[in-house]
Amino acid sequence: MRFSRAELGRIGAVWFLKTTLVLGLLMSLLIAAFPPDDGPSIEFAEARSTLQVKLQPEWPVSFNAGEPGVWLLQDGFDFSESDGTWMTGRTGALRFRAPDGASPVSIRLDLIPFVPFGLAFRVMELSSSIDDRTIQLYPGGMSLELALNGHQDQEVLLTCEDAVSPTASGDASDVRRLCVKVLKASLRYE
Amino acid sequence: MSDSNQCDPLLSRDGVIPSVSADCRDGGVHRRHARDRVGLSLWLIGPLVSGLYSLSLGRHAGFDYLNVRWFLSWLLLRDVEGMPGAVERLAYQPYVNEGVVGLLSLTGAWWFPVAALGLVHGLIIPLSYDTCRAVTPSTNRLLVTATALLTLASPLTSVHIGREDGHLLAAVALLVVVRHVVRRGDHSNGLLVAVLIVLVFFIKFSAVLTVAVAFVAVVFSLPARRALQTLTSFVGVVWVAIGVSSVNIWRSQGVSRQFALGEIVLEPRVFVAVGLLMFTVSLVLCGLVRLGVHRFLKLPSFWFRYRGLALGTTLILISVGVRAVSIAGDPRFNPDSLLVVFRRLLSTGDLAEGVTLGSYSVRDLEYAYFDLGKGLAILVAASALLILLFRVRGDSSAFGPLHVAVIPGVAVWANMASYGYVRYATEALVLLPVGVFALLSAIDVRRILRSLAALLAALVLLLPALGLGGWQGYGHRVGRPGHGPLVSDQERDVLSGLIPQDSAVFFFGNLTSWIAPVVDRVDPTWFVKPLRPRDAEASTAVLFYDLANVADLDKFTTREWSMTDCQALRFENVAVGWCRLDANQVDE
Repeated sequence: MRFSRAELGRIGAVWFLKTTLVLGLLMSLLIAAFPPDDGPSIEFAEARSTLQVKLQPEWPVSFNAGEPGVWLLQDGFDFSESDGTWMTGRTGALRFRAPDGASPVSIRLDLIPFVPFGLAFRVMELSSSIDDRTIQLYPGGMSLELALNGHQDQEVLLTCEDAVSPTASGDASDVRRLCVKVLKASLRYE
Repeated sequence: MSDSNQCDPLLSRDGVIPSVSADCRDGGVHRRHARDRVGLSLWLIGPLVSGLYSLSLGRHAGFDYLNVRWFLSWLLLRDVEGMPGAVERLAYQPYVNEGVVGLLSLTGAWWFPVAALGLVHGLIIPLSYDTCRAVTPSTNRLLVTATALLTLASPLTSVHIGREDGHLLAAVALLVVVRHVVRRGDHSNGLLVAVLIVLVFFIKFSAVLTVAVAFVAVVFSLPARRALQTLTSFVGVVWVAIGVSSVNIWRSQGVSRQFALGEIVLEPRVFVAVGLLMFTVSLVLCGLVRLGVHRFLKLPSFWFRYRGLALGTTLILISVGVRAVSIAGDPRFNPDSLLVVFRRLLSTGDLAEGVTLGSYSVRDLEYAYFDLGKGLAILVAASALLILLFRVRGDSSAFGPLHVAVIPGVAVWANMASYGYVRYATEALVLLPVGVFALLSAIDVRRILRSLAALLAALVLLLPALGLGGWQGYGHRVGRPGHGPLVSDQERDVLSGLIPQDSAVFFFGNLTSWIAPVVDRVDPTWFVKPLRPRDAEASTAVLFYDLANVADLDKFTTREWSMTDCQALRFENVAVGWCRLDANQVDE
C-alpha cells in the first residue's frame, strides 16, 4: 500500500497524538495507583529507639559489611566491605554504648593502614575520653589499644592528616582517600 | 538474478552508484520483512534477553540516579510545589528520561523499572536488524542477526542495558528514525522524523552532538522538498517542546516566568516573537515550494547532485566548529589539544588503566574499558564521507545509506573533540552496526566480499564481548548495586520516622536526596542547600548528609543552626548521616 505525502503526514500526526494520549492516561493511572504517604509510618521516638539499639551490639564487634558493628562507625567511614570498613575522612568516630552493668576500661582496634609505596610509615592520632595517642602506621595488619574512662557511653576519635588516595600515590586506581581499614573492636572491662 | 537480489542495492545497477529503488523500498523490502521470521522472532527475543540480563544486574544504582534524577523525577511526578532552593535549577534540563524512570519507580518494586527499561532497550536488536536488512537485503541473514545482537554486546553500550541513565532509551528513538528513513527513503515522514529527533534530545541532553549529526545526515539524505519539510518541522517541534518543558519552570518561579532549555533562557515575549518568525518563514517556504519555485530554481537537481558533497562539507565545518568552541563539559575530560582528541579516538580504553584523568590524558571515561567501536566508527564514517565527496552521480536515493554510515563516526568525533568523554557518544556507537552495513551497501563488490567485510566488522565488535582486553565496565561502588530494594521496608520506616510531620528537611552532599522518593512523603519541605532558619521558615529541621562531607557541616552551624542527636545510619545498602537541627536563639 502506498500513501501520498499528505496522507503520511496526517497518519504521523494522528499516531503521535494517540500515543501521547495513551501514554498520558497510563501515566496518570500509575501515579494515582501509588499515592504518597500522608505522614511518618512510625513515631520519631520509635525510630530513635531503633537506632539506639543498633549502638549496643554484642562485643567483640566486626566491621564487615552486614555486621552489627558497622553501626558504631560514625562520620568519616566509607561503605563497609566484606573484609572491613575504610576510614576515608580526615577524622572518623566510633560511638557505642557498653553492655548494661559493664565498665569498659579500654578498647582494642584491629586495623590495616594504607601506607603508600615508598613510605615507611604514616601517622594517625587516636583519642578517647581519657586517652590521646599518636600512632605510627606501618604496612600490614596491627592492633591498637586505647584507655576508656569506664562510662557506658563512649566515643573514640581517629584523625588522619596525611592520608592520600591510591590513585594520587600511584599505587592503584582507587580514588578514595584511604586512612585505615578497621576490622574488629573488642572491649576490656574493669 | 533472483527476486531477492532485485532489491539489493548492490546488484541492481551495473557500474552505477548503488541505490534502492522506490519499488524495492515500498514493495520488495517490506514484503521481504513481512516474511522474515528471524526478524520477527528478534522482536521477541531481543527485549526478552535484554530484560532478563537487566534483572540479573540488579536494581538501579547509578550515581546520578541516586544523587539527582530519582529526586527530581519524584518532585515532578508528585507535583511538589515550589521546589525550594537549588532544586529549581534542575528544572532547566530536559527530563523525559527522568520522568519515565521516576514513573516506573513509583511502583516501589525494584525490579519493575529494571525489567521495563531492559525490555525497551532490547528493541535495539530487532531495530538494528531491520535497518541492516533494509540497506543490504541479500547479505547473509545469520551474519546480520549476529551483528544486530552485538549492538548491545559491545562494552561501551552493554553497560547501559536496563540502566536508568537514558543513553539506550535515546538510542532506541534514534534507531527508529534511522530505520524509518532507510526503509521509507524519499517517502520519509518529515514530521515523524522531527518529533523523534527532538525526543532523543529531550531524553538525553548530553546526546546533543549525536542528535545534531544524525539530523543533518538525515536531512541531507532526503530530496530537497522533503528535507525542507523535515527542517521546518524540526524547528517547530523544538519550539513546542521548549514551551511544554518550561511549564515546570513556571511552577517553580512564580511571577518571574521564562522559557528555558539548558543555558538558553528567553523572556516570554522573545519566545513568542521567535516562534512567530519561524512559523512565518516556514509558511513562506512552504508556499514557495507549493508554487514550484524550487523547480524553477532547479533546486532539486542541484540538491540531488551535490548534497553528498554538501553533507561532507557541512559535517567537516561542524566538526571544526565543535572543536573550536569545545563545549564545556566535565573539566577532567575536556581535551586540551587535537592530538589528545586523536589519541582518544584511537584508544581502545585498556591503555587507560592506571592513567590519571586530565585534559591531556588518553582516558575518556572514569573507568578502564576495552572497546574497538570508536576506531571502527571513524573508519566507516571516513570511507562513507570519501565516497560522498568524490562521487556525485546517482539516482534520487543513491546516497541514503551512505548518509547513515556517516553518523556514528562523525558523532563520536564531535563528542571526543568537544567533551572528550566517550559515554556521551553511546547513542552514536549503537548505530555502528547499521553504519557498517550501510557503507557496505554502497560499495560495489561481490556479495561474498561484502559478507566477509561484515563478518570482519562483527568480529571487531565481538572481541571485547569475548573478554579480550580485560574489560571491567563501569564501577557502581558508590551506588550500591545488588538485588532487592535499596532499603528494606523496616529501614524505610526508620527513615520516615526520623522526619517529623510537616518538618523542614535538608539534604547536604552527595547521595542523600534519594531519601525523599524512598519515604515518598509530600508533607515535609525539602531543601538541597543550607538555609538560615528564617529563610527556611522553620525553627527545627532534619538534616541528612553525606558521611564524606562531615567537614563541611559548618555551613549549618554558621547559619544559626545547632546540630544535636547526630547519627550515621548504616543500612544494608546505603549509609547516610542524620542530625536534628534546632534554630539558635538570635537577638533581634
